[in-house]
Amino acid sequence: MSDTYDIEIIDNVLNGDVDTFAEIIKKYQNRVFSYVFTKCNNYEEAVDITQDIFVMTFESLKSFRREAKFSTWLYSIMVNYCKNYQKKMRRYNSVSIDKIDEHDYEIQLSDERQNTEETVITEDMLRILKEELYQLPDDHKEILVLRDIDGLAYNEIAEILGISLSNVKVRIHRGREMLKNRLQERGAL
Amino acid sequence: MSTKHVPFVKISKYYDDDIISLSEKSEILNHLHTCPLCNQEFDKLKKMIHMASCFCDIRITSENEFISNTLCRIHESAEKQLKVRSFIPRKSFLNARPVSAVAASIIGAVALTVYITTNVNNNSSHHFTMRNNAPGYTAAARNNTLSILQNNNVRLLEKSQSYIIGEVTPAELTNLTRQLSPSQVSIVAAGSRSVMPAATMSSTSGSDWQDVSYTNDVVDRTGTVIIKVRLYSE
Repeated sequence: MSDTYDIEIIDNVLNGDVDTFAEIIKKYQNRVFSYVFTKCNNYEEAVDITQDIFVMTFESLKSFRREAKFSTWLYSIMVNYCKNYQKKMRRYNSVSIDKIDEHDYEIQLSDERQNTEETVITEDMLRILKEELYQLPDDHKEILVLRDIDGLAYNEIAEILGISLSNVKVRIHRGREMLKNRLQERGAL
Repeated sequence: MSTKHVPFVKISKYYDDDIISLSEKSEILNHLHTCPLCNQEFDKLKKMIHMASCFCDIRITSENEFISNTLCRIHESAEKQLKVRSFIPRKSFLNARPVSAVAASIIGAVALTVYITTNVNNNSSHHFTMRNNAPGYTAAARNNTLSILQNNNVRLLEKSQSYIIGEVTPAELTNLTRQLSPSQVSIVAAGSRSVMPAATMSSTSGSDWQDVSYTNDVVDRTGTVIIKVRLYSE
């Protein structure tokens, strides 16, 4: 589904066919969810936030000026929403959310990596990676998620975050170095 | 380049094909072939990025349910927008060129009458078709949650469309978890630190939150907890 298809859907939604927005949700729900999840590290919370982001996107559709791709615009809403949400939650957090959460969501590995000796190591490594990624400074964490998890291009990331291309590159490479050193210290690499 | 190790940042740039100079690119490539340490660093980077890409496998477990619940909220929002819009005068009406006061008021009265009539008709035949909402995702379910919170004296700290942050004592929390679905309530933090004056929920009028009375004295927060309550239940 191309960006042209997204625009067609948006036109339909703006003309009153709200149900077609389901196509947008279907297409982007897991991409938004995976980003949100790496931010809050809690399944239920991530589902709620993802839902809020889609509602907010719907409510702001009229202000979408079509200068950027729809996906870029959606991601910028997502990034800003998460930033604001984290700010709010930090005001109350005397105990970190991830430390209270007893129902931590397990990362499901795809079938080909299951049931091997290697999987045990990999799952352990993934757990460490998740913990260390979560501990990175926000600036680096968010950029690594967009680049190495969501696979976005440098220029898309620059547009979403509203920063220069050179700044994006610097943060990506430094963030990777930081993460690599932390993983190495914990024996996950 | 061949004798000195390649800095990790440069290896990362090489991985992303972000090195413009062809000669530098080939130098790095040659070095990676000959230097086991740098080659090892390159392998670590590849492995780390491969591991990170596994987070893409994190999915919403019930996708269809998620879509339908989100659409319910979107329909609710569309309805609200429609109601609000019907009370806002048209922009062009406000920006009309100055005419004499009498003419303006006559035009205004006629325009308003036409506008209201049109909108009343539009409202009755608008395009939005309300779906049969999932049971937990209706305004009624949300109001029900809010009244449960009111009845349990939850002190409001923060509110959004889909959740509230509040403060309760353990006893109040126990009562609350009996009346709400377990997935709706989660503990955010121990309530040992006051962020803002707690707004009590003693008002019984209206279905929405009202910050009716602020407690000026410092509430003894020993043992209180800060909770997040989802206003919609599954």
